[in-house]
Amino acid sequence: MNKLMMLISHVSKFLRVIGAVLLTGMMFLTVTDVILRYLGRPVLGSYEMIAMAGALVIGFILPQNSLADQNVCVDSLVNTTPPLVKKLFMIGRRILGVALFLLLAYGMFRKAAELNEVGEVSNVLHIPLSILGYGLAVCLFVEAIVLMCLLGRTLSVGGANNE
Amino acid sequence: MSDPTIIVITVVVLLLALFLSGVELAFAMAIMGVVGWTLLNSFEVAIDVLTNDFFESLASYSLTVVPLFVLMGQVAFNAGIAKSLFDCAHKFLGHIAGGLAIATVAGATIFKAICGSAVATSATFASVAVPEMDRFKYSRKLSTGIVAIAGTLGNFIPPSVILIIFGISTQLSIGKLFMAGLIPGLILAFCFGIVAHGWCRINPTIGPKVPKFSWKERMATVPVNLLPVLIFIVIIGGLTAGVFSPTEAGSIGAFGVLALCVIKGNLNFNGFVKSIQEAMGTAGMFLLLVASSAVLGHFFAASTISAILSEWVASLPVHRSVIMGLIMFIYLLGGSFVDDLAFMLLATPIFFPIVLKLGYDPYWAGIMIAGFTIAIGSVVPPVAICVFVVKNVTKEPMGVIYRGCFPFMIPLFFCILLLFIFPELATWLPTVLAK
Repeated sequence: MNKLMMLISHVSKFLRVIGAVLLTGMMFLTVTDVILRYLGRPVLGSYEMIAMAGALVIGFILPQNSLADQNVCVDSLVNTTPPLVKKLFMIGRRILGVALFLLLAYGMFRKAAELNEVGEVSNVLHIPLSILGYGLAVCLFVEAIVLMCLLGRTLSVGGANNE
Repeated sequence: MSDPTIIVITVVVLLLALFLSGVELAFAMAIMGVVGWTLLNSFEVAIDVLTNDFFESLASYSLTVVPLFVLMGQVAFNAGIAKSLFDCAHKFLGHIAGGLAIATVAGATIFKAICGSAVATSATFASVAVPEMDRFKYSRKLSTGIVAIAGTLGNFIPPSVILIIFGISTQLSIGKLFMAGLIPGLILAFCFGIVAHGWCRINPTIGPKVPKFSWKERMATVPVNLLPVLIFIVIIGGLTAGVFSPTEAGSIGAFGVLALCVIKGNLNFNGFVKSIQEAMGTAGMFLLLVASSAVLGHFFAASTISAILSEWVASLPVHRSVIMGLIMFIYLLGGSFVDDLAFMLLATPIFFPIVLKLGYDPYWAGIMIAGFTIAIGSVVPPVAICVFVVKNVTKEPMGVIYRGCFPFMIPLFFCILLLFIFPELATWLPTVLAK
């Protein structure tokens, strides 16, 4: 379990690095586009590149946010319960999370396949939207795996206390 | 189960149960959106709505504004810009009664103009202003209370992240929302200053006077602090004049603050990496909530519950301001038990149509809901995020900080009353600039 957690942690950090590069790129691309627009030479397709990069930035940070427990939750009530009850709540919470993200990943893969089938592309640069769909689906699937690992950690002895 | 009203009630009850059982709020909203769609239609439709809402929300150009404005705030937060702003305000205002507390409000107001987060504003000034106030023997009740309350200005003064998210969830113009928040935010800042001054005049021991600086010393601090103001004018001016889109304004702001920090030597590469990582984490948390609330919001819309409620509420034989006050109270109460932002995203699809049906201006309503209720929610128990942040930085007990915040609740409620009587304070600027 520890090795799997380490692997997941490395993958999440790697995705975060890619996300950070994309976010920095979004900032520079937008500034360049605004400047060049006033010189009469705007960057073609900058809006769609930024929209796609923005989606991937969020997709890439999801696993790291879950590992760092950065998503908002109300645990004040659960924290007042005995350790065993708390652990049961935590298991239920993780199972719901895994189910949601498996469903989302499945739905996103299906949507990407549909986009691929109809050949839908972006307006200016004609980038296939299915690429974005598959990218997001992978991110959502990685998030589901992260939540599975966290579930495994909770199920292991004393797991609830570690989280 | 086919009656939409019963389905909505079931979904809301289960959602609250999930919230209280510690499930991530975003996950709970998406899950209950799926359950609602399944009960209303079918599981197949539920998966389609879930997937489409996530795809459309995450791949939307208009949502890219969030990470970029958050990045701008994080760079400002990590670069120590607040210190020079506070230093400048200190030299100008420090010598009057409660001067350092007033300087905190003034510094936070300008800092807010380049940092969209209430929490970051409180955290920054807790580390910058409280030690300085300690040095001059200010009471901890006043010093910690003022930094916590100064954070609430983050909900009004552009570029407020809360207003951006409210604008996205209600499809209102972000530029106009920024303008709507500016005058109430400045009035509020002025009132905080008045209360701090009055408090120290009544009880001089809590905020002793500090030595006066010469005009030469004061003016020497001005040039360096004009740059953040200039960045604010460029981004907000460009945004309201229609020169930039909100995303472009966020990018230019982030780039401008970054360039300013690099030139001044305030931010190294590690600081920039830290800012980027924090911005991604915060934006990811916000946008996951936005995408999940879209699933739930579309379910509420499809159930026609908002329309039914709007019709019913509009027909009630009470003045509309009573209903508006009640709606704000529900936001405050809900935000106290869940999370202010999450509750805003959850409740807005239900209550915003009612507010519009009552004939209120949407931008005014945005300031009342996203501005005031969340501002109050961030400094009153049980979930007072600005107070928590100040406690973590200053190690002062929560009770002391709450007592320090208490006198500043008067301006908050006074401004709410003022906006009920003179809604033009929020609606005038967006109307004028739109022309």
